[in-house]
Amino acid sequence: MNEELLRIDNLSVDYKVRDGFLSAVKNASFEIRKKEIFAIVGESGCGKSTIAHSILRLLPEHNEIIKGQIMFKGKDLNQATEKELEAVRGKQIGMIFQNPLDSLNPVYTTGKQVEEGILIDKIPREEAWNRVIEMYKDVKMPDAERRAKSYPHELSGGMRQRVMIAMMLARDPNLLIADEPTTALDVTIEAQILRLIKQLRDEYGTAVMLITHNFGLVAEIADYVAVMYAGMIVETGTVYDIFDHPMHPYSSLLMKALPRMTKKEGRLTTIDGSVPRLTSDKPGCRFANRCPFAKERCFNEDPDIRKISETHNVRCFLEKGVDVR
Amino acid sequence: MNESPFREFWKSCYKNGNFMVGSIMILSVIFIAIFANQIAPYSYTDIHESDILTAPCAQYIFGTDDMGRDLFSRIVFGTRITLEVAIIGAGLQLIVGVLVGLLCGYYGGAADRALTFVADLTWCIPGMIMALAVVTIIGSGLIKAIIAISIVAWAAYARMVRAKTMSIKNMAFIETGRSFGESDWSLMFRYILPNIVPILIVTVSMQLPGTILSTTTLSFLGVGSQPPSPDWGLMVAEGINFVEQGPWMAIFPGLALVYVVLGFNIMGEGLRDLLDPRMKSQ
Amino acid sequence: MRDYIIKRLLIGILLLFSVSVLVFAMLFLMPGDPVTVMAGPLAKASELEGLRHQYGLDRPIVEQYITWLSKMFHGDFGISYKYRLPVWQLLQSAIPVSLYLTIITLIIEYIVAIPLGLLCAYKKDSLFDHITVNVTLVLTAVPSFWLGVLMILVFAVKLQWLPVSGFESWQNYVLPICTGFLGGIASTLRLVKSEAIDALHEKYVVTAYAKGLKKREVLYKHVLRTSLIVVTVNVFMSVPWLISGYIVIEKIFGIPGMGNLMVESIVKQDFNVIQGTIMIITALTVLCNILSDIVLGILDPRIRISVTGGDQ
Repeated sequence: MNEELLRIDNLSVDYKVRDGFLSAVKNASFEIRKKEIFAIVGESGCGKSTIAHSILRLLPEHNEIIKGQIMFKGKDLNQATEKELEAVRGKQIGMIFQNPLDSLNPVYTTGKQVEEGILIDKIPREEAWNRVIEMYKDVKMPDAERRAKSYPHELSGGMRQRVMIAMMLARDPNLLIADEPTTALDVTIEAQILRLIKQLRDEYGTAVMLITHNFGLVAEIADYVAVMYAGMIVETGTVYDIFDHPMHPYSSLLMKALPRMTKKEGRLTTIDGSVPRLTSDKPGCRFANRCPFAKERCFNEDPDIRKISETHNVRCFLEKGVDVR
Repeated sequence: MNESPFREFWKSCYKNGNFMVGSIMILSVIFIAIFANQIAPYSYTDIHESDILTAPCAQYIFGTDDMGRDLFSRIVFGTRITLEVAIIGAGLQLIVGVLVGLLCGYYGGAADRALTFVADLTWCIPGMIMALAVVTIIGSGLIKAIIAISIVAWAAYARMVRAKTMSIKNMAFIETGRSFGESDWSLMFRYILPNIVPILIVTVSMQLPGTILSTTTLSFLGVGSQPPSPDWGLMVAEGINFVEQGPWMAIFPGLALVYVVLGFNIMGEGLRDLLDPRMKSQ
Repeated sequence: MRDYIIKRLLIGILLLFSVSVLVFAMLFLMPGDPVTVMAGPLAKASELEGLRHQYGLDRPIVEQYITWLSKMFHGDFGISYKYRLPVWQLLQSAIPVSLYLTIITLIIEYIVAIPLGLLCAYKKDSLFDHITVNVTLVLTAVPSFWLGVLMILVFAVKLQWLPVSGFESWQNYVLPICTGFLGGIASTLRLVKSEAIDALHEKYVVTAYAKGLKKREVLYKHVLRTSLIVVTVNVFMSVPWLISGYIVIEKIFGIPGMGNLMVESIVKQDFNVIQGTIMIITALTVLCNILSDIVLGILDPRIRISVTGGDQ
């Protein structure tokens, strides 16, 4: 259970925009071990999706600059050629997205689209189709054979996400990146999909990198958590580390906001201020302008990652951590 | 920050290359049209019997036609016809299109459905065919050709205004206006219309080149302007018969037409960037 | 799918009916007595009364319309007073000429526009894209009647490679087709380009990459296939527009197609011919619209579902 699968080292992603660069991710580092569920949480726009997309180099606009290392099974994906990446995508790392309707091509049946991935491995067509049906059954798709012949528009949101999961697990990858997989779904469907992901992890042994803004969801299924704010990973640790002993003011404030609320309201409305626009690479903690404990130093120096325990890391100057509860 | 939005708008106009180039092209045409009497060396009907089909030279810089008329002067006076087409055409289409679009969008109901059907109908008959049918009924001539083209083109405006009106009429500020006792008429023209103006300007700039080209085409086909009008379409038609002896007869009026239409096209591209950011992203 | 086609057909029939009423109404909108309109200015006053009865103009208007319509279904569009021939005979020789020109132009246009448009979309903002955009911008400003004259001037008069006009051999068709092609290429290219750009930005393209497909497969199966749906539909839609665009070209090059026939008859006030040509072209337009709707329904499953309601 302790074998390293993916290690991100000092990953920075800048977007080229009209008037310079936008720093979407800055010096992110973390690792994902085999069979674990690793969650990255943060507000929308904090760069968590950017990390997910840059692992497979799938950022859509092609105006990004990726620095740092993305070590997957001992190979740096950031240095890999396009051809090498093609061999990784789908086969070793699968990825599902936020909106399963947009993510499926409307003019092909869903089964065809799942089959398309399986066929890359030069499997005979008949066998591939059987595999599709098998996958549909594995993701608990009701009436698998008929649904495989349905078009995306004929399926419900939850079913479409099941198709995406089937598609991305069909080639038995070691890692599944799930980018806000349940944000577009109803709460009841959300629970089903999460249970399914967890179940499939146990069954297939696929590690899962879960991107979400929903802390409740993290508490439910994640083993490890990284908390992200404005392009920076501010704290990493096991679920217990983060939920029971949050060390970064941002995480603590989030924890404080969480328990009393229902899921929907558990957003960051209780933290004053707003995320700064990160065009320049100016020094200082990015949370400083909203942090109730900020000192002068926080505005001028980049805090380094500090080890609290074997599993727990935080990026903050405050030695003892904070307890806002 | 303390600049007025108006000045800011002019500043962005200034920076928009397309808009500037297009405007300068169109302004030059307007200038020529206004000072046609001063610029043209001859009247467009002056016949120089001894200089029939003269190639371009110092005296006649664009040459003369088969009747010995100076082509340069004719083209200069032709700018007036082209602008006439642009102004009357756009005016007619705007008045009808905006009125119909506003009324249908605001009131909806059976009239709206009927008009949508008519607009759909005009949409599925090729424009040239319909214009020719209208000309068959109302007869030939420049103004009649403009009317024929406008009968074809108004639907595009009506469609656009109707859609915009329908989306604006449900907005909060219309409710507010109504609760203050504004009449329907006032809501339509003082509340809704000003919000449509920018996209209306963009639509005009996109429709105008087509209106000019179609009207000139009718003249070329002999059902628009009649001789001795210096309409460029008519001039090209006259030039066809002398392609071998005097190719300049057909070349120069066509070039002038391309210049004007290109001017409107380029200005339109610029305007679209300036006024409709949503379209720009496409 | 069946419901969808039936619905389209019904709308098409309604449109055809409306168009036929409009074309029929032309006779009464024309200035002057309908009988003089139909018989032409050459008819003698003494004949008119007899003709009025013969044409059925003394019958109630609905009856006249039904007679007119049923005659047309049997290919009877009346007599051209100028040629002293049945209008149908004139149309019969003109329609194939126009269709032939249109279809060849259409094929060339799409063969050129599809790869160019895709390339422009894929290499957006490259030098190639900028050049293509500017060339098409200029092309849209060039009226086809002038383009035709330039063609004659350069290739027929100066270089003498091709004949000026006529319709006997294939060489006669080269210049008209080139003119039609240059006139239509700009809008087709823009359509292909914008469709392809839309497709390139779709999320399912990212999914296709994430699945592990090669770039070529993604572009071919997901971008090309989907962006060509609208383009294919547009092929059907553009047939009638091309025919009407060919009015001018046929006149310049003296090609005996529908356009030439129509303009000729308008100038000569040959009403039955005008009516016949307009009816044929508009009917063709409506038919092409129905056809394109059906093709769209076949190619794009979303359309079928939005009409039939899916099977959820």
